[in-house]
Amino acid sequence: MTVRPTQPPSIVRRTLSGIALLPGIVWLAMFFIVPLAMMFVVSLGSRGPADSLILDRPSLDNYARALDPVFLPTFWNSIRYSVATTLLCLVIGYPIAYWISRHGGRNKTLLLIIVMLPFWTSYLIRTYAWMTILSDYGVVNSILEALGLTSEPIILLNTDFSVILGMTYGFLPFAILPLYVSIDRLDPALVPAARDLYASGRAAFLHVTLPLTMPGIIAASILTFIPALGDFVTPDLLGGPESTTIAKIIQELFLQGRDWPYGAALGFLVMVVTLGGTLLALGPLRREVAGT
Amino acid sequence: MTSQAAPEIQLVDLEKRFREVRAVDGVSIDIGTGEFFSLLGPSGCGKTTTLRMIGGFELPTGGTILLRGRDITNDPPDKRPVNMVFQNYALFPHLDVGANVAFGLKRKGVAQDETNRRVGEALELVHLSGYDKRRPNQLSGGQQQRVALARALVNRPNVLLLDEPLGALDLKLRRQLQIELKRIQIEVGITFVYVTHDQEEALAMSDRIAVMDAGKVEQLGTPEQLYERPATRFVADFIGSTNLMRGQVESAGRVRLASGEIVPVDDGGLSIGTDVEISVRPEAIALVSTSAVGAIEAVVEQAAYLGSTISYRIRTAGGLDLTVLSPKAGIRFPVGSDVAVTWSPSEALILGRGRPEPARNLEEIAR
Amino acid sequence: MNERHDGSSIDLEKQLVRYMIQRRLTRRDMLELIGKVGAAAALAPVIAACTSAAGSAAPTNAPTAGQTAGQSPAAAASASASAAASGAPAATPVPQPESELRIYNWTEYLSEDAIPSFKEMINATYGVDINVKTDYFGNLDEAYAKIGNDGGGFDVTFPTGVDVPALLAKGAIVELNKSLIPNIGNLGAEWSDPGYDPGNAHSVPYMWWTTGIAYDRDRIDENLTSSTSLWDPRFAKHIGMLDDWQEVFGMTLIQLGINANTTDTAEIDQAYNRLAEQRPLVRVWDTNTRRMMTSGDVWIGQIWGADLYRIQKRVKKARYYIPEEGGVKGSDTMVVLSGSEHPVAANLFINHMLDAHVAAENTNYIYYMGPNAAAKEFILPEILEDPTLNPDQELVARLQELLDLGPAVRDEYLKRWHQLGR
Repeated sequence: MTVRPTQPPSIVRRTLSGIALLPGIVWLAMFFIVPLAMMFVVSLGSRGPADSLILDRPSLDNYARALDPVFLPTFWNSIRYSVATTLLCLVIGYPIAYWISRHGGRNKTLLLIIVMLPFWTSYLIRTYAWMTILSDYGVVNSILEALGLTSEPIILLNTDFSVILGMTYGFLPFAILPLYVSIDRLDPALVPAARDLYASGRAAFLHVTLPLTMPGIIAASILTFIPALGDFVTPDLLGGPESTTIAKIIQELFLQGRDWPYGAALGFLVMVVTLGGTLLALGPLRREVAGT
Repeated sequence: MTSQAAPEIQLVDLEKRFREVRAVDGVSIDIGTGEFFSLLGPSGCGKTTTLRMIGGFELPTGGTILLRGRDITNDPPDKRPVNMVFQNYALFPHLDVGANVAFGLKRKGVAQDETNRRVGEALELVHLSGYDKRRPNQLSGGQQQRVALARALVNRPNVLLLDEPLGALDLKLRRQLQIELKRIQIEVGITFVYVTHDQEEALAMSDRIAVMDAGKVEQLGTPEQLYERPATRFVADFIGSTNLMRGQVESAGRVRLASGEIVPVDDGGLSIGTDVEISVRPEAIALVSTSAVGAIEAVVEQAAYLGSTISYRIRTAGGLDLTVLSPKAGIRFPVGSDVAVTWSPSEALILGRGRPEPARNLEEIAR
Repeated sequence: MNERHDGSSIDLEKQLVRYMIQRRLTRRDMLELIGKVGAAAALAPVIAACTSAAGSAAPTNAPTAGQTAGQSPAAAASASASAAASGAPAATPVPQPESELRIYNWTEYLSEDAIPSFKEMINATYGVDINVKTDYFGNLDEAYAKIGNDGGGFDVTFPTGVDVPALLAKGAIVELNKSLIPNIGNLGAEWSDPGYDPGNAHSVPYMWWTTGIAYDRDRIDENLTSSTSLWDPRFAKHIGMLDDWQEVFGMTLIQLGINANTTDTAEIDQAYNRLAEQRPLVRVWDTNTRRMMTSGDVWIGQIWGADLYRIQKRVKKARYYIPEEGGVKGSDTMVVLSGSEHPVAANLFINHMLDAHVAAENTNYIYYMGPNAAAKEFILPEILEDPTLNPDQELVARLQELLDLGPAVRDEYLKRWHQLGR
């Protein structure tokens, strides 16, 4: 198997590919970079009388205020919900992706579509559906009582359980697809080869399948964790008073407190901390995978 | 070289059924210790499925597999002292060559120093010393195959299974590696079970060959037995090339062909009038002068220069087509010339002592 | 002056509205009913009521029923002109409305009759064919964002009373032209000089409500009267509160005998401690009171009074009460936006809504009480008699309005509110 050296692309080709990137770059700049920059500028400002915005005296005061420990509990809420959701999505999503890849046969595409189907309905409606299912007089409790297993409703809604359930359900397709792609690319002869070399089923998974699907696992984790961190609709609708997330707090600072600079600063702080933390955590994983 | 001691592997009435199709249909084979044994046949004959059942990658739907007398039919692959070289090598892409070769040893918990030593030995055996830090995607096809071999052999299995390992390589490399494999097998001394569809390859390397078709063993024997004494039309046709003729026994040692010629045959004591099918190898037919007694007259239709031999396609007056292989040292007959051929009776085998093949007979009748 | 045009169609509409209110039907219910049984069947009783109640239909305007029943500035001007003619020299000039009016309002917060009757009135009085466009918003944050500092292109909008000072400070609203709003005299005394807008200089109250407590009589078979019931451990995990820090703190402060608008951090801390006690018992914080109360998960919850009737459609035995310790009232107002290009029409519209009949019509339609004293004559008795919607005058006087406390105090409340969140 020889490796043929590639020739550097011609000027024409490079220009054309640059132009092809242009719409994407413009879009990202206009709707992502610019708003982010604006938010940063706002975070350096201060709130004036009558809740006006003062931008001509920039300072980092708001960031100092944002480091207030009173936010830690709600920040912790956001973190633990996202981590729990990500782990559950991986644990549930991996077997599903594996099964579709290995046993889907001709129906692989159909099965993947079925996995994606819930996405075709509004996220909000699906969340409302969960409220109906988990309420004291909803589907689950009605069934339990009808089966004679309970005499009184079990409180399922407005708890940590309902929040994590709703979030996991919402983000599962985000996890299944990258996992599926990674698993499907696996040479099907590798696991039998490992078994042949005295690896038990478990050892074959641990030493062959898992390392080789790690890129998919990382992608699935990122695609789940980061949006989950910003999801405050689900904890808001499915959670109780103790389910408040940092996102909700930021929203309240903007709208009820009408202190945009403060809210912006807190928002930036949260974003930097979680992005930084995620990259840090991924560092060792990425290095391990780099050999693949 | 059939072993007289207890066989290394015994397949007893092995069957693998996929719904209605019997991929492997009642296969019984004994393979001796240290034998280079090949399963030979066309695509879909069941040879790979049989191999996979020996390895533990398919579960038989009937029959038993014994390894040195122990029933391993239902054992998972990791519990069998058997290793496989896969068709596309199946090297672990995330591990370097050394880690690949060490994989089985690691799983068995072999100590690090011993592992290192044995990996080094295995790489040396396949002439890849010093390659241990390379990655599989940096190796050529031939090198990958050798790593796969080393990875299997390092575990000192009782039996090595090879699933068409040379299929992806070009002819010259294939020939080289055939010699290599044979050398390694003799050096290491373990039993090889080799699957291939290339009959030349099987003939070149094997101690014994089982020729398979449609899930059954057509004939089992040494290369010479299979070549010289094919039991069925299929074997005769599959191994080497041959001329197949049909006719009726005319008298002792003589058969009248459907096309009218009377030809000498290896007398099998058949009664006059029996329908027979005869196989004569092209190289066994001699071109003689037209005036020879008992020779069959024919016209040269085609002549092909093959390098070491010349292949003639001749047609008799009765419409019988024969292929004749002549050494180039003899007289050259141009296309269109009249020739006569003959062969010694012992070269004309009477076939059909194996299973009847109704489908094939129907074809013949139609023709 | 406000004569009805085409009496028959208005009568039918009125009867329809009355029918719906009597049966406690929302417009959606009505449409469903029509869909199921057919328009004729659904509307039959309405039509019957129409013909039989021709006499007792919505009160017709007695032309000279006093200045207070309803006036247009033109009439007032001409009245003063004729009065002046008998003695004084000049007639006051009649300002002309512009040809367009842009309204920004909540959904379902204006009777269907209000705008048509306004257009008719403008046409009849000034000969102007005015074009009225309405845009809708679903929540205040969205609305205030769109209004910005100058009204966002609208002329009239309906902010909450508490927010009027902030809008004024931003420069988003302008002083009302009282000469165009003589009907302002129809306001009840308790509404004509609110704390957030002294002298109604910039705003006119539109609709008001109370905040109180609703509970399911089926689950809690008692006569509750106090807001401490929201702290009752017997109802643990079946208690709901509004997801609104000011309402929540407000009710708590009042319960503790403290002014709902206190700026004293020590007092705010007291309320916080009381709320911290409640936190483990609370099932959910939600401003969607219908959703909160109808799932069955919440047995007793803090709600806005006018939401009861929607809740009662699902929870038949829902009961509402204002805590005996006292409670909160709130109002929506009408304002003219600073960027308005049609100020005359805007002020005239406000005046129109203050007309007794129009105001009564409005209340009968959207089922909120208005601040219009003169309109009470014409409001449906069911509404007037419903203590949920129209509580005792004496009780109303005791209710407190939640004010804009300024950023510093707001921060103090919010800090504690956020601490409650975990």
